[in-house]
Amino acid sequence: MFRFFKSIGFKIFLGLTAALLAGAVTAALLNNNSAPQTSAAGLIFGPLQRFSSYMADGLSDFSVYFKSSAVLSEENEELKKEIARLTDELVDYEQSKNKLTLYEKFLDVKEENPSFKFAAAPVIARDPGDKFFGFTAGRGSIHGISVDDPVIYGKYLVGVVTSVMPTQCKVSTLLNPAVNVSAFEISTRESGFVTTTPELSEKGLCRLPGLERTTAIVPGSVVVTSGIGGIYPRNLIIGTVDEIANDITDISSFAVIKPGVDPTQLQDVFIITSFEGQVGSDEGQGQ
Amino acid sequence: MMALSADNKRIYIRRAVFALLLLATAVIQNTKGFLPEPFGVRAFPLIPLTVCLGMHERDVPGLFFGLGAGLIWDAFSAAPHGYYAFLLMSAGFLSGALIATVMRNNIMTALLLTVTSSFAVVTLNWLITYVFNGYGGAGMAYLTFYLPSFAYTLLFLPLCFYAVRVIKNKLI
Repeated sequence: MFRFFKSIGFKIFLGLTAALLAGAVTAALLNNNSAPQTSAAGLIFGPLQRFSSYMADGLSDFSVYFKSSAVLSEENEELKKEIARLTDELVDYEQSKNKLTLYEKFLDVKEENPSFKFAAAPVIARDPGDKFFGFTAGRGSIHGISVDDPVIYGKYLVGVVTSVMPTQCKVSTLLNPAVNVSAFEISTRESGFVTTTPELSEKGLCRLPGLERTTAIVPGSVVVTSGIGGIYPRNLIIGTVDEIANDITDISSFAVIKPGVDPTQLQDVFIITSFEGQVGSDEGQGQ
Repeated sequence: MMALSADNKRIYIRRAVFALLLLATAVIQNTKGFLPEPFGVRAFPLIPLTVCLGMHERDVPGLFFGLGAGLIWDAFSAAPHGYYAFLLMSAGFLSGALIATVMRNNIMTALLLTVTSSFAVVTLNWLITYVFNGYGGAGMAYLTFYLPSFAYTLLFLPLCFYAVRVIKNKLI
């Protein structure tokens, strides 16, 4: 046993453990919330992960058409080649169409909020160990992304950037219990903060706690961001009220909210890098 | 410059092939849609692969393979800084050290080491995510997500073990 602790392998192990600890301490001191060694790994392997994500999307689109092509290939070789060519075009068309739909939605948001500055970001990876549906987006500090930037899809809030590397960033979604968003219901103007619990997160739901027992909010009501706190801009849609329930710990009620977008299905998002009223931004300092 | 001996050349080629295998596995694990998620259960094939690489290449190379695997996982995960790098580096190093000293290199010891490593990783994930944050439903989450994910991960062991063994035998 004593020989094991004196071995070169164990000394290297201790040295690397110390280096990892130093990286963790550095990350805690930096504003980007990312350890140097993690940033370096992200910088090196990010492009590969981005390519892999693109391939996964392409394959899911292609599989349906590939089957048709295989059946028709028995009829004649020429027709098969033609189908393969058309299939490629169709996949390109579908991807372009999806992209166009996405940009149309953001054009609406941009027209309504001229102060917003965006960065379009593909979803490049998902950590299988993260039970709360966080993901990695393919834009980072060199694209102007910072920690706490809001992440949206169309007019819907998706989540918030929690750490930034040079070419990518990690996003926590509304389905993470650590995320809190100040919000209000648009018809009654009752306000609070939207968060979730692990149980609700599993069902893809959030909650707006602290409502009066006599609350006028009804299922189907729309909940939007209030802009209080300066992290999220005002009037981004969070979701619709699914039900009203009484809290078991006090005399208040809470609204169960179904978010407007399913974060598990997203392939692209937009990150708001600057908006009027943002904490710490030039836009916000003029307020 | 000193020329590489034939043996050293084969070792470098073998380790380069293992590094590529590790990279491919990391990409497959972190890309949604490549691995099926039955009932929302997810697999972490990097764990059995790291253990098998440590077993076949011994402690120091196992340590570096584990470190590499963990750094790639960290780059795309929500875990604290260097968390997976430390866990997988430990798994690779200890697997190699145990095979070099007290264990035989076969599928049963691979199973034992993978069970231990995977169980440690999923249980730590659960403790950090649920228990230390004081979230409710921790027990149910452990039974419905973390333990099934641990079992799902074990399914990748035979594939990893024999893939590593075949590559090693070809490039010994």
